[in-house]
Order: sequence, then C-alpha cells, then structure tokens
Amino acid sequence: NDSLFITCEFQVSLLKESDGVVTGRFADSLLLSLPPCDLATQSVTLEYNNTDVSVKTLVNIFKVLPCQLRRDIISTIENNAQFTTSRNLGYQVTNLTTGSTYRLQYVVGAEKSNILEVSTRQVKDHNQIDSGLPARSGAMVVITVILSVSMLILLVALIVTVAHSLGGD
Amino acid sequence: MADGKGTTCLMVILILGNIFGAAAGLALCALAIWVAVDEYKLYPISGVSGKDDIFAGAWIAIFTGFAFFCMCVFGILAAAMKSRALMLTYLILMLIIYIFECASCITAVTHRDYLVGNSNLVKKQMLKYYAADGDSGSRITLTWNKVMKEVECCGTDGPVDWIEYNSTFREMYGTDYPWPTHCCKRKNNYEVVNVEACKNGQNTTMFTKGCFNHIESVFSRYTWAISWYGFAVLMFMFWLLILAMVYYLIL
Repeated sequence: NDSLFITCEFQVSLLKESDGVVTGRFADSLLLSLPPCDLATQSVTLEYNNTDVSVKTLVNIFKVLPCQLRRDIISTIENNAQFTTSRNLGYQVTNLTTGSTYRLQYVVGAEKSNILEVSTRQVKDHNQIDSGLPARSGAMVVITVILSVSMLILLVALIVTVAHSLGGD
Repeated sequence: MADGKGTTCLMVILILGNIFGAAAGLALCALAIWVAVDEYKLYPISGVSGKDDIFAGAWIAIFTGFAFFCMCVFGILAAAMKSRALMLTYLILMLIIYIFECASCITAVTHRDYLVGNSNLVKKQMLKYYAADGDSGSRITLTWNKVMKEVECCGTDGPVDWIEYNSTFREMYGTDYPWPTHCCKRKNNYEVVNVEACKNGQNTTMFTKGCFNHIESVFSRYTWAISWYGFAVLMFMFWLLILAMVYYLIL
C-alpha cells in the first residue's frame, strides 16, 4: 500500500474577494485560508520559502479552530455598542518581500496541505502613471467643431453685411 | 424702401426671439453661478492639477449669460425702433459676447476630458498629495477625506490602488495601515468599527467601491451645465443673429 506520489490531505489557498476580503495579496503579506475544522485543536505549522532563499518555518502559530454547528457561519460585524460578532477568515503571513514568489505549506500533525505557489504584489511607482490627455470624447469634438464653424460663419456674415450696407449707401 | 409687411414680420420674429434669448441668457447665468459655487466641494482636485477651466468657463458664463440678457433687451429696443445704427451696435456686441461664450464651452469640455476622461490623473494626484505636506497636500487630503466619508468609498478605482502603488501616504505612515482609516466604516460616534479587520481588508468593515465614479459624475454634471447648455444657447443665438443681420440689410 505504498503511495508512489504524495497526496494532499487538505487544501490551502489564498483568500479572494468571495471570501469577504478586498484582496489576499498585499505587498508584504499574504492571507491564507485556514485548515479544515475536522483537524480541530491540533497545532498548525507553516513552512514557506522564497524561491531563492531557505525554508522558513513558523511553528505552532495557532490551533485549528473547532467546527461550528453550522459550517459556513455567516455573521456580520455588528456595529452597535452592545456586541461584536466576528468570524475567522484566514491567517496572515507577514514580513514578506514585495514582488517575490513564495511557496507555502501547512503541516498539521501528520497531515500536510498542498504547496501553494503565489507571489506578493509588486508595488509600482505612482509617478509612472500616465496622466496625459486620454482619448478626446465625442462631446468635446462636436462642441469644438460646431462652435468654431459657427463663430467663423457669423464673423464672415457680419463683415459681408457691414460691407454691403456701406457699399450700398 | 423695403416692403413694410416683410419688415414688420421680421421685426416681430426678432422681438420674440430676443425675449426668449434674454430668458435663456439669464438661465445660463444662474446655472453658471451654481457651478461656480461648487456644492460638492471638489474644486481642489481640479485646482491642484491645474486643469480648473471647468470653473473658469463657469465664471465666463456668468458674465456672458448676463450680457446676453442685457443685449437681448437692447435688441428688442433696436428692432422696435427700426434704427440701423442701433441694430449694428447690437450685432457687433452680440458677436463679441458670442465669441466669449464659445470659449467658455470649449474650454470647459476640454478640461473635463483631461480631468476625468479616465481615472489616471485623479489616481496619480491622490497617491501623490494625500497626506502630503504643504498647501496642495492639505487641500487634497481634506477633499478626499470628505468624499470617502460621504460617498462611502475608498481609493480611486478601489482600495487596491493604495497597495498597488507607492504613495506619500505609504511613505509617511509605513505599511502597517494599507489604506487610510477613512476607508473604514465608522459608528455614529465617529469611532472606527474594527481597525484590525479594516487593515486586513474585510469588506464588511470597510468601503470597497472606488470614488472615481462619484468624482467623474460631479465634474461631468458641471461640464454638461456649462458646455452643453451654453452650446444650446449659442445655437439659438446663431440663428437669431443671422435673422438680425437680414433685418439690418432690409432696414
């Protein structure tokens, strides 16, 4: 019964907008999903490395949370003074380098997750944003052309009128 | 010399046209005053960028709108008195006002395209001046804080702008807060609901839509008031002036 290949016991992924966050990739941190609740009360270790550097291990960062009675409990953050409810979304890995690729893996007891390969955001320089005139809108072209033509017509018509009346006298 | 019936008919048309023109001119003046007052208080965004001719166009339109009103009243007088000299004065002055109003319309719509054609200029300005020192910095910061609070939005296209690019805000406050705390939802006593959740980007505790839609719609509204309404008034005045020239010729 030897396996010839490693099977992933559970999945780890980056948090997305559908999980209720703006983004899972920051410039210097990443938001990872939590191990499933059936591994509850076991301690979690995270191993990750930058593609060129040695493996970092964060040991016993948290204990896997127990299953809730309702699995996908959706709760809102109440913002009155009486109480605040919250739900746990993920784990934030901090102190990462900007714009580099990381490979991360949870280890819970004997079980390992898949290796997640993801890169942090590359911060761009705001001075590089091109703020020149974008395409001219139709409104601008129409107004400019029609008004310029009308100004010209009126000027010419006035000159002709005055010349005609002076010449006619 | 000219046949009396034709002249009288044209005179009546001119008088009616001038009455309508006077009303339109006065409305233009009033609308331009509304734009110049800037109830949405977004002037600093255009002022700091140097592309503030939407408001310059509004100021010109205040004066040309009122001038159209005065000249149309004068035109009623000139047409009724059947005087060539008065009609010539009317025509020349109306043309001068016409040219100024054209300038107002064209410059307002061109600067609107510069400012809000796409979100780049507003985004660059926000990243550069928000939380910066100096006069421009404080004006932009106050304007953005007001917009983020009232419209319930964050960043130009979204909160991701703050982490996608570097900014003066990032330089001053480091990476602890990915975006300003004005992006976070607040309780009625102005306290932030949950600072840690807001820093992580949980979308129940912060505003996730971008502010550009609101900014773009406000500037567009001002521009349509000045440039499209001004255009409509000018198109009417064009035909009125052509008729006035014909009247002058047959007087």
